[in-house]
Amino acid sequence: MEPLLRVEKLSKSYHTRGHEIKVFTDVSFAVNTGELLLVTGRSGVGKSTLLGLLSGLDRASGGSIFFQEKEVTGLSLAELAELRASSIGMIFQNFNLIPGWTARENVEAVLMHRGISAAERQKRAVEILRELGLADRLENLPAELSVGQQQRVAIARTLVNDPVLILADEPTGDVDPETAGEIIELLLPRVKSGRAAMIVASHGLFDVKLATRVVCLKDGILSETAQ
Amino acid sequence: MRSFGAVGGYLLACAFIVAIVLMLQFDLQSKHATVNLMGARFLAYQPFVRTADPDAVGRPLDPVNEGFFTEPTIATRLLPKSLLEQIAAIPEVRAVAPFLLYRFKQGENGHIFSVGAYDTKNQDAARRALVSPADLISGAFFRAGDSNVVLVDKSYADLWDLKVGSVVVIGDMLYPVIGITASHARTARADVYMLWPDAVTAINKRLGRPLADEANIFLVEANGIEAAPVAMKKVEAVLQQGHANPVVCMPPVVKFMGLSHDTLRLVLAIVAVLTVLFAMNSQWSTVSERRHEIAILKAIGWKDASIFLQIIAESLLVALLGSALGALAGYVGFLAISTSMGARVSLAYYVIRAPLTILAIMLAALLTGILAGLLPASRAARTSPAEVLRTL
Ligand SMILES: Nc1ncnc2c1ncn2[C@@H]1O[C@H](COP(=O)(O)OP(=O)(O)O)[C@@H](O)[C@H]1O
Ligand SMILES: [Mg+2]
Repeated sequence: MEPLLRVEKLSKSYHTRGHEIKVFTDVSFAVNTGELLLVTGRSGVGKSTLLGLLSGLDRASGGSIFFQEKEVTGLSLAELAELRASSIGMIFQNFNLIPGWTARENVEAVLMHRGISAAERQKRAVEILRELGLADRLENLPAELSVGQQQRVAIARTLVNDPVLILADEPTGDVDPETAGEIIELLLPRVKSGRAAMIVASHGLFDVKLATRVVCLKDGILSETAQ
Repeated sequence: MRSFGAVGGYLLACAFIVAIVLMLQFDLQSKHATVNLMGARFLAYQPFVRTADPDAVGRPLDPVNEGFFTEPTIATRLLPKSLLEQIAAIPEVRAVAPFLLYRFKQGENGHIFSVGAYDTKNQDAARRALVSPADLISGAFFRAGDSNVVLVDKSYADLWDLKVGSVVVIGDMLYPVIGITASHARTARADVYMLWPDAVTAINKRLGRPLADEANIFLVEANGIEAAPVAMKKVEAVLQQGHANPVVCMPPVVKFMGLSHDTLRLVLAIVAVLTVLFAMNSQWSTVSERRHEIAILKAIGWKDASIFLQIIAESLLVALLGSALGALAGYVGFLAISTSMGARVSLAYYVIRAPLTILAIMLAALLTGILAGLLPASRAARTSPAEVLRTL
């Protein structure tokens, strides 16, 4: 059976002011639904860059990405956006909530401009925020929430479109270990129940025991590490 | 997504534009009204220099106090009445009437007053430019067959307590007053209006030589305000056969109206450009500030087109809100200023013309909103989310 995500000989280099920066070359791996892939490596090795390619926010310099048996490297920007909106959930180190929008609006944003009625959007956003224990914080701005609550809003936003692929960039990087554990606790059931696959980029503090597989980026090469 | 600053900018710009435009419109309307009231009418005469031939002014017996003049105290020459046909032949001239305006000094009480001669032969023109039944406050106007009766200007009547039925003494004759005329501004005015032959008789008694077929002023009406300057030039040319020098009263007003029109256009153009630039700048900086936010929206799956629409919609909303509030503020400001100046304009202006103007300004503001949003919106749509998000 074809895996959910398969990456083949992926490479990325930046061209800045005449010279080329090779971030990585020939990166290949595959992830199945129900798996959690942990990408480790020191800061600056290209973990974020890799997640950017997988989400279609950035273009690869070479190689292919197959998502749900479809080659996505050649898709248009609009098609990539559509893919993110429908199938991918992302969570960032610093949550990246929109400061001027309320918790509910932040979560609803994922469903906007997709032909979903306002009532339906609101219903789904409120539902997931309730599940995450934020029923009484729906109309608060991020600044009015505790770090833990902001984190749960970010998780609600990641999960509201029922993603089959969750991309997490340093999700535990900036918070205390307890809060970090909570994030994983909330996201992990999606993966363990076989509804999604998850790729976590982390430079070290992530609990390796939670991962199905661990790979390491070093000097532009991705290698499997023995657990 | 709430940009109060930008709304405030629109508000100020719009309030300013609305107030200025309404004020200038109002100003123009008032001037138009004034010019229309005065009509495209003017006096044409030839100033008289005291050292010149006294025959040209009829050799008044009391040249210090009496003589042919025009307002305020310009001595004028007598001109042949036959110039009338030449003036009437000018295409820009609608009507022309001859006029005699003579200053009398009344012997008994020594007061000075003016006598104007009403020419029944050029009745239409005389009525338009000099005095007409519409100017009557009381009594009756000149009728066919009348003679030796006078109309008296209200201010003069008040001075001497004259009423319909009173008599005025001019020279050695008594003339019954048959009507009192209003003192409002007209092309030409006299204290006492006499019929032409009566006036000639009365004036001749004060001159060293009798009047031939002469007049000292021509009352001219041009074919509309726009034609007036041309008509004046041509009449001047006709009178210049005898070194004529017509005094023109309308060109400054007409010129000034042109100036107001130009000012209006200039101010509008400048403010419009400034508004677009301001709005564009404010939208641009909003977009810059919101690069992060836009990158997030893209990361969660918003298409470039959605971002573009969102920015345009916001720009439009800001423009709508700002211009609505601004228009209101501008209108209120205009009302306050115009009423405090004691100006009165037709109701039609307040309820139709002004709101239409405001609507036009608001539409322009909305257009500005779209225009100002285009560039920032397309820039926003092109934001590269990967880069922005990495730097956070
Ligand atoms: N837009 C860019 N232009 C040039 N170099 C870049 C750009 N973005 C990232 N890089 C480089 O790519 C490398 C990988 O960065 P990143 O993916 O953020 O690493 P990580 O997430 O593992 O810390 C870094 O050396 C960085 O300097
Ligand atoms: Mg990183």
